[in-house]
Amino acid sequence: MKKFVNDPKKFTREYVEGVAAAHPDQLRLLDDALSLVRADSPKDGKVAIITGGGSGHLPTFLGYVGYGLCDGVAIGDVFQSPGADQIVAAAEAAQSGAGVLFLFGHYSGDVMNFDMAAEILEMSDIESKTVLVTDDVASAPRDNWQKRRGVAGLFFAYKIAGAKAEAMGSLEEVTRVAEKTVAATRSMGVALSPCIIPEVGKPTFEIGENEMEIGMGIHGERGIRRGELKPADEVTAELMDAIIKDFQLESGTEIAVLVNGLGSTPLEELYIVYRKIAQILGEKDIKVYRNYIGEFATSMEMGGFSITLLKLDDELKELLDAPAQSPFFIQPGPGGIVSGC
Amino acid sequence: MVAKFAQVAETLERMAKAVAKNKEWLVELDSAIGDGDLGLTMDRGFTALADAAATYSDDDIGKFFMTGGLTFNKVAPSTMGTLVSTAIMRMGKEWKGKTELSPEDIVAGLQAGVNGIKERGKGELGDKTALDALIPAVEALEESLESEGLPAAWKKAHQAALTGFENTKEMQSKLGRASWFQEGSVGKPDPGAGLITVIFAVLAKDELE
Repeated sequence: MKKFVNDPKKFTREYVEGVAAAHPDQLRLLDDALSLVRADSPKDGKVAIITGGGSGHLPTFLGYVGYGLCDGVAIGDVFQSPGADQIVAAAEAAQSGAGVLFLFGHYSGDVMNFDMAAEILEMSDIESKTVLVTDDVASAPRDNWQKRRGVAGLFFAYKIAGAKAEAMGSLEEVTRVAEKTVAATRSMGVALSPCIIPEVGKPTFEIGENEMEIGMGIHGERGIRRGELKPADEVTAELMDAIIKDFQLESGTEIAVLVNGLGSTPLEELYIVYRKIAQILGEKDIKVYRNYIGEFATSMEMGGFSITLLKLDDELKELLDAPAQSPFFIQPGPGGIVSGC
Repeated sequence: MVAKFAQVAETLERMAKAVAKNKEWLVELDSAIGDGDLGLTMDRGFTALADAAATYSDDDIGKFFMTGGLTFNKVAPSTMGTLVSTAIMRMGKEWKGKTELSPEDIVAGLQAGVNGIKERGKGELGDKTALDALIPAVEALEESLESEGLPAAWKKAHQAALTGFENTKEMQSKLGRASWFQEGSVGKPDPGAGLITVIFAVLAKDELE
């Protein structure tokens, strides 16, 4: 294993301390809990959006704590759920009495710990709601979409719900737009090479030099099929085909596109992928309202990428357009100004 | 016959010692179908719970279990740790305000714990989990309580837990990390069910095998 680490056991604590040291103006570290909250939290009357999950996916999860995004995050070890006490600590520090929305990816360990945190918060009369992100088309069939795993589509849920919360939407409203976004989001990925969890020290799976795995999850969960690596256009077309079919996207629809690198895929390759996506959507007369290309939800140094599509209506477009700023993500508002930060 | 907090604390202390004694066995069971940390996390959790009981100055049993669930989860945030924590918290809710527990209270508390584990873990009987030992044990306890009294009922419950644990050998994991091993889990018993046998041996005051 070749990695820039000290003690692998301290991997999570040390990178989180680095993030806290780099961005004290934007983030506050709750040291005992290893959770982060916005430096300006709690904000009076604002719903607090709390997320969390295992490490190894930067900028997910902690990268989306900021203005117009989430208010706090509980950080687990690499690919491990955070504990309920960490989630409670983040929620207590970030909430102002207007309620808490737990917004995170659908994984059994995370669900258990967030549910437990909700039960604990209930004892101190802090109201919370939960919305699970379930965008990975490859992880369960369409009629069972609520059992799907959450991957890069988390980003859209943060962006939309975060904008609604920043606009002082109520807990019901923020929950509603988060649910609406999840229902309108689909993703699928492809992997070329595994990653190494520092504490384990070995690759998470084996894959041949000329092989790819379509539909692999962001922890190396088994995908839909493994086969010979094809040219970028063919791989992109296969993923797009699966997503569009699942979605039943019709011509004239407006969407947002997210091309996400899994950790060691060069930006150049992501743009080769986007080129083909734009062609496919052009042929189908599906309009790209906004696109996001880069690393949003990684799997350490895994090679590969994922495509996420978000079906838009006027409400979602307005929320998607709202400004946002975190140490890992900046989107200027209309007119190019990051307002209110 | 009722149990007061001192008796609860004494039982939890024996439980922590029994789990510590069986730590290696639990690690072994878990390594066969999971990531092997079950023995370590349960040792940490039960020790923390017993320590908290030893220094608890109140006599409200419900309140102790309510906060005890958090104490347990803090040192054992693993899946099994969260499930046990949930069970402890639900027992606390059931026993809210009680300074002594009747045998019926104990059964009601355990049932609340079982429901908590089912709800949180989304598991049912037959999924090859701790529930496959726990549910038959609680049922046996309830059934034999009236006719045989609590001490004998605990022994029946322990026997039922052991049988349930044995039965998990032939089951296929449907939940959690062990389910990734799918068919590979057949032939190996469930480590969570193993933990339940240790807990009920303590409650029955039986010798551990």
